[in-house]
Order: sequence, then structure tokens, then C-alpha cells
Amino acid sequence: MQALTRRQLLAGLAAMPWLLPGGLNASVGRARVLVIGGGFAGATAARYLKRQAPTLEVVLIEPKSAFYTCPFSNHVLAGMAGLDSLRQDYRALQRQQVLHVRERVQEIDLQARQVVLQGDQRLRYDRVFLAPGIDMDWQAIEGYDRNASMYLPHAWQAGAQTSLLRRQLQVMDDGGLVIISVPDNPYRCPPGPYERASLIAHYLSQAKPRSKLLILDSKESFSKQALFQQGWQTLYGERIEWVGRAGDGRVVRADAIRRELVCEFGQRHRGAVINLIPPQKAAEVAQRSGLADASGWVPIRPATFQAREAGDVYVAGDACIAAPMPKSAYSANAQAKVAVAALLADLAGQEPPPAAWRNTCYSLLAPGQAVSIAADYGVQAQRLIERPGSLSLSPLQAPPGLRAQEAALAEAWYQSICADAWGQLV
Amino acid sequence: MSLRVLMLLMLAGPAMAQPWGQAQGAVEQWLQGAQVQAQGLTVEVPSWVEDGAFVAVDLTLHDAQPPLSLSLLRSGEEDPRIATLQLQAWEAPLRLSTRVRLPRSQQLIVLARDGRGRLWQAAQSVEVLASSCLSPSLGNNVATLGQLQGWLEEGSHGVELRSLLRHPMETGRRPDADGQLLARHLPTSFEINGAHGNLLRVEPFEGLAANPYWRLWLPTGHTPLLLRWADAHGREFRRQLR
Repeated sequence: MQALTRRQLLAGLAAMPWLLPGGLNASVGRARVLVIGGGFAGATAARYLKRQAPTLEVVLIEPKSAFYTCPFSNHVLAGMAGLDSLRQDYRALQRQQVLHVRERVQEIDLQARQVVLQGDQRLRYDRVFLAPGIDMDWQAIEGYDRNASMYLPHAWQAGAQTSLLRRQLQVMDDGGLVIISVPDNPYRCPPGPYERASLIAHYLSQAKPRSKLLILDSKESFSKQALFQQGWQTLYGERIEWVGRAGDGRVVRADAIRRELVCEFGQRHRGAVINLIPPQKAAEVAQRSGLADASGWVPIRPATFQAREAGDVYVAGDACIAAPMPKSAYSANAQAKVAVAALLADLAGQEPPPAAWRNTCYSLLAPGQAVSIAADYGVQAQRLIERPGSLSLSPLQAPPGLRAQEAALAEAWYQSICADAWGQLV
Repeated sequence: MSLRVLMLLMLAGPAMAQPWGQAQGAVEQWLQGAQVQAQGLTVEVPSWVEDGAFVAVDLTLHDAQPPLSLSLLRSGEEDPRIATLQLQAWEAPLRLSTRVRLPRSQQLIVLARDGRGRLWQAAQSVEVLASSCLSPSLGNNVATLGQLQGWLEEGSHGVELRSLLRHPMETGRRPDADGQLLARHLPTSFEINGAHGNLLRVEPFEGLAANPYWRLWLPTGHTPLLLRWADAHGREFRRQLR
């Protein structure tokens, strides 16, 4: 890993908005906030709630003892890092007096203002911070369910699935075809599948030089497409083939045992390794609590990230409808801070502070070479908007050293955002 | 009545009278003041989308008699037309899917008139939450222009047809990388002819998404099918499906 300078780390942190009003602590008292989910949004929320209002009772409800980040999980697939490098635990939050309850939530009883745990135990709340992340939509692709994902891993929730896909890549014969199936929007981390293709191609070029990679895409185009395709051509020649929907890239059926995918217009593809990323939706607790709309995601009030249907519930991260912000870790962290500020203002009987967000998505083309896309967001006429003129994208004609510089920034961003969310020392 | 209330009523008046925005004239011309059926036509479209360039639309129509005319319109564009269709046969109830282009939040409107002169109308609002982070505009790849995908699959509900033409559906309103408007380039027609004659005829307009896609269910016994697109440059793109 390239050594990071203190300046780079601070640069990563400085890009994140922080808008908490001061002097709230006395007025929020000992209210109880239940934070559901310990990923980027939930951990950030728990940490900042307690940091800003130490008298607040903050309970993090998360069944797992540690969280494995999706960002940088493609590094693990390529053998650039071990799974442990993604591990974030809750010890620093506990030291900060956040109570970690290792239970699964069934639903939020909005009428009773209680959260119902798996064993039917109920926890009263004053406010809920809902950050449950995603579930796979197991109905979307015929033949692809939880069992099938043991053969055709999605690896779109990091952890065991990441390890499974990594093992499959390792034991695959040289010359085997790797297939990545990408869903239509919206889904977690829009450029993620293409970074994955890049880093798997890098691994193949080192370890399985006769192998190729086929991307079957349900979309007609994809995030940072020109940058990725230029990088693929330069770095990997013909190793990566991308097939969009018009070329029959939308997978409609999967046969896990035969390792075969069937596309919309009848083409069949067999792969030695198949990474099938299915369509997604907000995690089940959001559905059960009646907070998700017909799309499967949770509508919010943009200025505060309160659930549209329940003002006592704040929602951030991949589960909510925050477009035009992408479903990214950066967005989740930024949304959580704005939502915490609004939640604390609400408890104190104050108006929420003005909201603003930024998102940057870094993607590696190869070890030490990255590209990025970034934009600023705000609220206008009660809608989330992308600030006109704020979009920035790595140039196609990059000056020498720029891709390496962006890779170092990506590393700095990852280290700093994890520290910011889980409170671990970098 | 206060002046303020009077002004509000005056402002509200035209909006109430023209609920279909830019499509108002087309809707009125289609309906000609006649009553529409109370039920039978449903349109499924997402209430919000991240990318207005490709908005999936599924419509279902019960109890219609052939021949059937359909018009798909959008309320917020200078040219509100998406497509008009003439259907001669389908597996009832009619189930038809396509993709439309909605550059901004607006209403999608579907009108239908069957062989007995009965009329249907349905509309849905779509919020477009556009993000430039997601997907760039389609390129105008001359090498793959006109590639025509097609697939038939027989099931318990007739024969499912899926078809997609690789075509930019260039409206003449989109700038290229240098800021120059790309030349207008739209297909003029799409036909599906079966063993017993024409089944579907489509006139596409600006509102139809690039790489136009159609999916519908046909009765058995009409294969082989000949799919034929024609464009304003005199080119034809054909595919036979068995």
C-alpha cells in the first residue's frame, strides 16, 4: 500500500460536509435514538449523534460484530488485499458510549414508536435513524435466489460472498471465462461493477493470462464509460468485453449448476466463474415497516432525510431515494451527517440547518491507477438537485501521474471515511 | 371575492382546462369530446427514475377488439408524441412494453381506440431525478446502427415477442461534444408481419427511447414473423423470427 501523507488524509476528510448547529446538547436531553444498521450511514450517524450530543441515548442495532466494506472489496477479489482489510468493528463506537445491540430488526412499529426485534422484544424510541442498506431482489432473475448465489456469487455485500468469489477466481482454470452481470439502475455503487471488471482483469493478466472477462449489462451505457473503456483497451487489450442491453446483455435467467446465463434475446453464456449482481432494493426492514414505495426504495424529505411517510424516522444511505446522488459510501456518510444535524435540530425544537452534500466516486483501473467522478448536491424547491456546473470527471487525456495521484487519493478517501464512520484510528 | 382570490382562480383556470400540458391538443383531437371507458387500461411506469432517457412502460388493456389504435404521449415536451400503434392481433388481454424518453418530470399519457370505437385513457406522472454521475448519453455508433434483436418464446400466455433496434433516435436537439447539434435521425416505421398479414404497425416519434424496444404477446399460429424498421434515409432493417 502506498504511504499516505497527513495532507492526503485531511483532504479526504475536508471534502465531507459537516453542518451541525452548535449548542444543541442541553436541549436534546436524554432522548433515545435507535440507529438501525452499522454500515457507512448508520455508523456515521451513531458516532456523530453521540459526539454532538453526549447526553443522548444512542443505540446501534446491528446483528453483526463487524462490517465489511463494499468499497475496496474489489481489491480483495484481485488479491491486492485480504478480507480483513475491509473489516470495521464497533469498539470505538462502544467506547464513545454508543450501545451496540446485536439483534436483527423485524420492523418499526410507527404507531407505537417502537422497534420490534427478531425475538419480538420491543425498544421504545424518540427517533429512529434507519440505515439498513440493501437486499438483493431474489425475484428479479429467474433461477437466481439465495441458494444460487452460493454458486454464482453476487459479492455485492462484502464478506463471505467476497471470499467465495475470490476463491472461485483462484481455482478457475487458466483460459476460463469470467462473467459479470450488471443490473439496471438504481443499484448500489454505479461504477462498482466496472472497477471490479478492471481489477479482476488485472488479476487474470497476472495469474490466468489466457482467461477473458465478459460484462453482460442491463443498461445501455454506464458511469465513467469512456474512461473505463479507454483504460481497458490500454491496460488489458481485448481481455474485457462489454455487452450492453442493445447487444443482448440483459440477463433474464440463470442456471447455477450449469453456470449458465440466458439473456433477453436468447443468447446463452456459460462461464467458469459468474459474478451475478442482481437488481436490489432497500433492506427488508424498510419494506416491512411500510416505508418503501413501489420501487422498493424509501422516499425521503430531501432537506432533512426524514422518511416521507414518518417524520420520526430518518433514512440515509443506499436504502433511500436520494437521486441524483448515487448510492455510494461517500453519499451515505454525507447524508448521515446532514440527517443527524436535522434530527438534533428537530429534538431541540429548532429549524434544520441548510443542507448541502458532495459525492466523489473513485474507481481503480488497475493497482495504482484510478479515475473519479464528483458532484455537489443541494435542495431546490423541495427536490434534491445536482448543483449545475459542479460535475467533475477525470480527463480522458490525463497528464502523466494523474491516474496514480487519483489512486493515492482513493486510498486516502477510504482510510479517512472509515475512520470518520467507525471512529477507528487510521 | 377578493382580488387575490380572483387572480388565483384566473391563474388556476387555464391549468385546470389543460391538464395534459403540451399533449393537450393531441389528447383532445384523439378523444373528440367522447367518453372514455371507466376501466380496462392500466399503465405501469415507475413513479421516479434516475435516468429519463430509458423509462420502462408496461401497459395492459382488457376487452378490446381489433383493430386497435394506441397513442403514447408525454405532457412536458415541445413535441409530445412518443409513438402511435395499430394492432391487428394480440393475445388477450393486450400486454405491451416499450421504453420512452422523458427529459424532465412530466406525465405519460396513453390513449386507445378499439375496433368498436371504444376509447380508453390512462396517465401516470414520472419524476426524473437525473444524475450525471450515472450513465452518459448513448454514442452514435454507425457500425452497429440497425442491428435488430428479436426473440420469440412460447408460454402459457401465447407467444412472447421481444425486439430491440440499435438506433440513436436522434431528435436534432442534442449537441455533440463540440456543441454542434447532431442531425435529426429517426426511424419512420416499424412493422411486424405474420403468416396471416400485418400484426403491428408503429410510427415512432421523438419521445421513443433510443434503441427502441417492444415486447408484446401474440396468439400462436402467426409465425414466422418478419420484423421491419425503416428510416428517413431510406434504409430498412429486417429480421425474421420463427
